[in-house]
Amino acid sequence: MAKSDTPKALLQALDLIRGTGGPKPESLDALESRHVERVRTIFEDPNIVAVGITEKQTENTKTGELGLCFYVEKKLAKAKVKSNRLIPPVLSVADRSAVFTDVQQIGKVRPQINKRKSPLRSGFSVGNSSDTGTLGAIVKKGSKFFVLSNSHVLAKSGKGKPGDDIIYPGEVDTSGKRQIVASLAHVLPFKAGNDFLNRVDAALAEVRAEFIDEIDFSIRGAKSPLATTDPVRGMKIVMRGRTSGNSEGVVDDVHFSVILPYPGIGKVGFIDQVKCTRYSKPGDSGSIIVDNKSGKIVGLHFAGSDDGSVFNPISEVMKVFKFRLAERT
Amino acid sequence: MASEDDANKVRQEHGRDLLKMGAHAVGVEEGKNHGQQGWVVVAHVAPGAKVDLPSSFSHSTKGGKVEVPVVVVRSKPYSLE
Repeated sequence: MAKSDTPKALLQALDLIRGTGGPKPESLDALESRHVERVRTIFEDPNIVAVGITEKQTENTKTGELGLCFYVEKKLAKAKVKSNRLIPPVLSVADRSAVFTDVQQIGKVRPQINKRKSPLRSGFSVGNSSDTGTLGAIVKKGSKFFVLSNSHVLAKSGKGKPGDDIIYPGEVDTSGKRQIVASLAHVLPFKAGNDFLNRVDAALAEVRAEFIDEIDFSIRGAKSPLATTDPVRGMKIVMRGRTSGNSEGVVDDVHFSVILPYPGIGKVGFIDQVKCTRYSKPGDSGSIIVDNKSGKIVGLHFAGSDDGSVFNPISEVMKVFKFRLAERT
Repeated sequence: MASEDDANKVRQEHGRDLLKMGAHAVGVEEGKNHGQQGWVVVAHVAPGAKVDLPSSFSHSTKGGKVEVPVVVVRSKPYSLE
C-alpha cells in the first residue's frame, strides 16, 4: 500500500509516537497532554526497537486491518510487563479517532555492516589491531597484490610499522580469532600543523600468499577494464563502504581545503580535496569512489561531517604509491 | 561579480589566512546558495566558535580588481571516518 493510501489517523498516530508532526503537549488540554506524554514514554522502553504501520496479526495470521505496530526485541507476556510499559490496545489521535495497535517481535535491530571473511573485496571491513575502515581496492605493484585503504585505517596514520598485521574483517567486526590477510607495506607520513600541506591519506598492505586466490577484484560501480578519471563539480558518484553499504553523492568542490584532527598526530591539513554531498558514515574510510556515468574510479574516501563527505583524488594516491588497478586475468 | 576561477584563486591565496582566523575548511561555491551573485569563498566555522573574518577578498584580474565574497557557514569540523 502506498503511503498516501494509509489512513490519516494511522499517520497521525505514528507522528504522535515519534514526536515528528503530531500535536505538541503545550497546545493540548491537560487530559490530552497527559495522554500524549504517556504515549511518547512508551517508546522509551528499550524492548521497543521500531514503530510502523502494518497489518495486524492474530496468532501469526494477518487480519487485513492496518494498525500501529510496535516492533519489540522480545514479546513478553502481559503479566511480565510493568503497567507503565504496557502498550495500550487503542490510541487516540488528534481528532479523537481511535487507532488499533499491534506488537510484533523482530529481535535485535543492528546496523547492516559490510563484513566477511572471504573473498577479499572492495567495500568490506578491514583494519589493523586498533582501527577499522573499508577495503578500497586490491591493487598491484610489480607482481605483488596490495590492499589499498587509508593510512588511518591500515597504518595508524603513519605510525604503523612495515609488517604490521592487517585483519579482515576489521577489529570491531571480528568475533573470535583475527584473520590476518596482509602486512603493512607502504605509507606516506603526514605533514602535521595548521596548514594545508597534504593531499593523500592512504596506505598499502601486501596481501599474504594464502589469500591471493581469495580476491574478488570487483569494485562497486566500476566498469572493466578498470580506469580512472578526474572528478568534476556536479559529477554523480557511487561507493560501497563498510558502514553505509551502497551509497551515492554529488561532487560539490574539487579544490576543497580542510583541517582534520588525527589521533596521536595533531592537526593535519589537506589541499585540493574533493567535497561531495554526504554519502558516508564513520567506518567508510578507505572506500573507492566511482564516477556513476563513466564507471571510472575518481577517489579514495577518508573524511566527513554533517556538511558533506571528502575524498582524495585517486590520481594523487596513484602518484604517491605508483600502483596499478588489479583485475582477474 | 567573481567567477569560479576568481574564487578558487582567492581560496588558494587566502585559505591559510582563513584557517588562522578560525575556519576549519575552505570551499568555493556558487553564490546563489548563499544569496550572493557569482562565486564565493565559503569559510566553514565550528558552531559557537568566535571568528572575525573579512567579508571579501580583492583579486586582481586582467580586467581589473574583483571582490570575492567570503561566506561563513557554521558546520561541525570534518573528522576521519
